[in-house]
Amino acid sequence: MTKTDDDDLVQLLRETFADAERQATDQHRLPAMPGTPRRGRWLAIAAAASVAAVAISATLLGGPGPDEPIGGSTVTTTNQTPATAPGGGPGTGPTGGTMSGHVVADAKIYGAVMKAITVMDRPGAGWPVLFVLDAPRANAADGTFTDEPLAPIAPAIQQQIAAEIREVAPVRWVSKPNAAKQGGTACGQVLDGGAIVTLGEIHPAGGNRLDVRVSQWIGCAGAHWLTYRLERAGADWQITGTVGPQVIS
Amino acid sequence: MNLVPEAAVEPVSFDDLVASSGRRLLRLALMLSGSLHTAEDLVQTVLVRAYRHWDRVAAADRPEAYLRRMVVNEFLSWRRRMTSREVPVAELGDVPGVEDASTRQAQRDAMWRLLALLPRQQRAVLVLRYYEDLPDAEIAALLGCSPSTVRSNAARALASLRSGVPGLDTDTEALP
Repeated sequence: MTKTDDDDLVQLLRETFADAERQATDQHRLPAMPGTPRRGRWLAIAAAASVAAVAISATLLGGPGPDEPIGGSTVTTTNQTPATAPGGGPGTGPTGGTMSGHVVADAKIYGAVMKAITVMDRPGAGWPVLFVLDAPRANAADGTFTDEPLAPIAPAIQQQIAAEIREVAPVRWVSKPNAAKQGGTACGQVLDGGAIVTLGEIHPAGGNRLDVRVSQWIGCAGAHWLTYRLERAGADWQITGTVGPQVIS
Repeated sequence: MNLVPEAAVEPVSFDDLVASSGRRLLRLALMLSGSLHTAEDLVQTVLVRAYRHWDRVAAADRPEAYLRRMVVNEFLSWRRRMTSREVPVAELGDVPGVEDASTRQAQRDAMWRLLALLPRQQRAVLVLRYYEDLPDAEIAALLGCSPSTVRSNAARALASLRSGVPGLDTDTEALP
């Protein structure tokens, strides 16, 4: 392969990228540059997809700013615990600082989900312990046993989640489901009579709504997988129902 | 010499960064994913995440580069959603002949489809190298690999494209 051949190929590649960009622009699908009247459209795209963007709109109208919790929480803390969140940005390491709004918001969201699902199959005396996977799973609600952990839940959020559901049961964080089962086998009984909770990522569902996949497992013949829809209610998040399929084992 | 007093430097706001970088991020996502719909989903996901972690983004030396990195990382890790949307084919259909009057356009179309078949890391390297025009060292830092890996990925990707685009010389050297 000669240098000229390489140049030809790269030139064609550049033309291909330019062509794709031009076609997208011709379809009026790429937003205009800032400062043009279409800027608002771009912000609207983001707004349609996220609760965060709802807060942006509120900001533009003089509402709460981005430093405030997405969940609208009034909870404040001076805890200096490093904060990251599931599926965080490219910086994989936690950054120091005060407990930020998203820590509280994520914990409230996950807390509401866990309170809801742990009602199922709850023993009369309550759960002695909940084993919660320390990283969300993309397949948390689809009834499968494949295990593909996503970015771990930050320690600060873990602590806050545990605080949110302390009235339900104490939480023990585990990295794999089998770590909470007797014998470490797939269908082993959950240790200490507890349940295993697998959380999914928090997905915006438009407006003030979110979807969160979750499963609860107490045995191969005692498990639930489903997706909860939550809606912001003042400072908290409330379960408004489920969406999509529900799997019961 | 610091020409701007620190007190005068205001942290960038989310709105301003979206307004200034949104278009570029969407284009980058389009080149990475090959689909405008997927690109929009990709950027929206990143912006939601960026908003939720805004303190971290705003504290970065180059918030725009940070968002770009988030888009690339999201693309590389978005296996489940991407694989459910892409419909890769083993062989291209309707490949043009070299005598076609619109051969160049046909070659670009073929190139675009071939890009979708590349391993994601290789496609990311090509996009960052030939669309974003980033140097290999910066691509390596962004992807978390060595510059030699970037070069290797680029060479393999180009070889794949060369062998699949009609009308190009396919007499290639053996790759390491």
